[in-house]
Amino acid sequence: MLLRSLFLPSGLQFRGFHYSASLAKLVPFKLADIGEGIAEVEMKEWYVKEGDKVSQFDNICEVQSDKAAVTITSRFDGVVKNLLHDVGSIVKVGSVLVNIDTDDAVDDAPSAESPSQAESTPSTPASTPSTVTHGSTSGKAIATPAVRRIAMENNLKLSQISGTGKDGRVLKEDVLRFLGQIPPASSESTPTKPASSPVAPVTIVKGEDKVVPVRGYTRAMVKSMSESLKIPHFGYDDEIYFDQLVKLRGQLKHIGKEKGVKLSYMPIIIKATSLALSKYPILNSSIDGNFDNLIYKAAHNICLAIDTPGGLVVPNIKHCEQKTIWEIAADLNKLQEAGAKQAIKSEDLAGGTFTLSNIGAIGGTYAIPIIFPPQVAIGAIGKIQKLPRYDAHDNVYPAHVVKFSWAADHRVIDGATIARFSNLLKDYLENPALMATELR
Amino acid sequence: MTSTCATSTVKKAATIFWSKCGSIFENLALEEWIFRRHDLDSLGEVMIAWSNTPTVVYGRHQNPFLEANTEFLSVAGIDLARRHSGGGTVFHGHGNINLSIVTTHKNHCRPRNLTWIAEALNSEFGTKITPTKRDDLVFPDGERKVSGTAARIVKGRAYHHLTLLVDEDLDLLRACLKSPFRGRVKTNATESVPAKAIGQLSQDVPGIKIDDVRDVLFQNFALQYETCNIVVVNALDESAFPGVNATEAELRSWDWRFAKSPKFTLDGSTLVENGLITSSAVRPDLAGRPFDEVLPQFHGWAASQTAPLKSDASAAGSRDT
Repeated sequence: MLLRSLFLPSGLQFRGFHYSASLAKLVPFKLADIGEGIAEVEMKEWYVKEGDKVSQFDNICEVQSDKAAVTITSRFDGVVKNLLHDVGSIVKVGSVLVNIDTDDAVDDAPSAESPSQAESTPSTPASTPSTVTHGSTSGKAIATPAVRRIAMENNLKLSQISGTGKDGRVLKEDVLRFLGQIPPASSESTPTKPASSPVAPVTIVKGEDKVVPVRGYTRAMVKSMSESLKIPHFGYDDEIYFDQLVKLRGQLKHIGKEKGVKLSYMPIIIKATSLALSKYPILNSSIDGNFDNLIYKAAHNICLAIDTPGGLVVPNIKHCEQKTIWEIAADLNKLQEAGAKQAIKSEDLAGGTFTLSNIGAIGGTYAIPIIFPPQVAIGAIGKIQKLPRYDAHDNVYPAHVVKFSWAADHRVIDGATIARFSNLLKDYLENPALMATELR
Repeated sequence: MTSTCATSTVKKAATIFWSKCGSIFENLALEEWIFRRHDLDSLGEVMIAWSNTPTVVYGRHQNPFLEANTEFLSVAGIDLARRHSGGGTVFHGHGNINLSIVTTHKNHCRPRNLTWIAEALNSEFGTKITPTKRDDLVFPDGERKVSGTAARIVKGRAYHHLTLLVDEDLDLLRACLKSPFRGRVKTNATESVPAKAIGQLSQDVPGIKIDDVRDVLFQNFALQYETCNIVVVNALDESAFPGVNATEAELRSWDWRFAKSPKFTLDGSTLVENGLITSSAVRPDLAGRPFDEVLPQFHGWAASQTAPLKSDASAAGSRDT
């Protein structure tokens, strides 16, 4: 039990509530609605016993409703007062599972009985109790409730943050430090500050589309493969080293600030992709309805996945082949802002010619993103990872590695084309100066 | 059968994890990793699909000795695994496909999942499979069950996994699931509700292959989303799924598979707790031993046999090995 010093203005009285040593609030923790119209469950296992200290998110018990095994985790920090159901008994949804002594004054939980102190009295605890969690459950990050709250408020998972405290404990400084260093690639979908970009409006020259009839070998393949609705995909992936890009972006950041344009990696990747598509225009083509023709599109309207409150949307940035990296960045910012307000226009959703999916490819041996017809190719960009690699002198250095996975329509694209395109893009991104040499 | 769950009108992104790992332990470990660690908020929902070598899988709160013939399994080289979700015991081998649909708790809806799966199979193969109130999938006779379901919900996330029998050795299945201790055990453990009859797709669709079923399921799952990636998992790669190998080891461990069973009494005379024999009136010499190791020595004790009095214990103990 904790003792707290309570500073009361003189003359104030307690209203008849008898205190023992503690100002702890006894909170009944009820079994929340599990959904599915379930009214009752069976208590299967307790993870705690009376007197145990618990923290928010610690496991409390296991219940089962026919097919679903549900782990109930604590909503509060505190000490388990008493368990109200035996293993094997039936528990009704909404009934109290345990009572918890919470010693944390700042609490959004409904309290069963609040100590009747006068409202105008602030209770100043002598010191914040450091209720540390049982860090022994596999892989759980250790942190005090105060630190957990900061992490939660910032939508962070404690497991993302490396703890520098004792036993790998995550300290408040670790969280604050982490907040200043969110890896660039993952912030693609966050809405930027609503600054209207002072980049001058772009004049677009309308290019000519080229229509090429599908002939010969390709046509035969089409006839034999296209019975099913499936587009025959084949995949190709590669690792691209972002070290030079990291430097480049660092150099360009302050210019971006002056222009009021947030420069992430995506605009650079998009422009490099467009440059590579100019060399391999078949990847920017579209199949017409009857599969009679491949239309080599003059415009590079590159589609990207934007996360919105209503779900994932895939609009495109028009004419990337005629825009600078800043113009592309400004367009991307606009789309992200519109996405956050769920106000992306239909003309932004139509007319895409090539897709770069930056929602990431993870795990396993390779990922095959699904192509959007009538497009013929798609790329998926993974997260930036710092991995050990050898440099030219056989020394190990921390490389920024990003996995790119490509998929193409096997009826019209052959493996060599995709491989060469990918290699060219890799050259551009690993040696950004190369892009400068392509300027006309 | 209408679903009462929230319908998501916006179709987001999703990923299909096609696992080619051979053992149940690897596949359950992958499922557990994805359930705990996959970024549902930015990457969208997941469907995992796998088949494995012949295995009996029992539910989290079940008693393996009551659900399966564990001796037969070890002799036949068939794996025995406890999973984290609830529900009953199943057998699956290469003639079965397992699916696990991982979402937020809010979007978790087993009837909705079973509806699209049944419709996909029916339109492709001409079957007339329907979901039941107990979340099974059955043939029109309402008796032959082709799929069983189980679910797990923790911290706002959930998965719904199910078996789908395509073309299995049903005799082997029955042999595995026939426990010699049925009727002799008292316990709080969940007991399986056996299906009225076992069904599989090959009964009504001769020549049907797992690959065809998988293709149909993948396509119909992907159609529900704007973008869907397929990730093939050939092996549990620790760099892609950090911590997965520790999870696999835990699933294989004796502690998880046997010690975790709720306590039970056998024939009213032997008490087993945490996988070990606490006391046995009929075989006091076996106290402290793991039940799974000495199990064969309990055959021959019929349910009707009452516990001998303490003075008879030594006589009983000397009877046989």
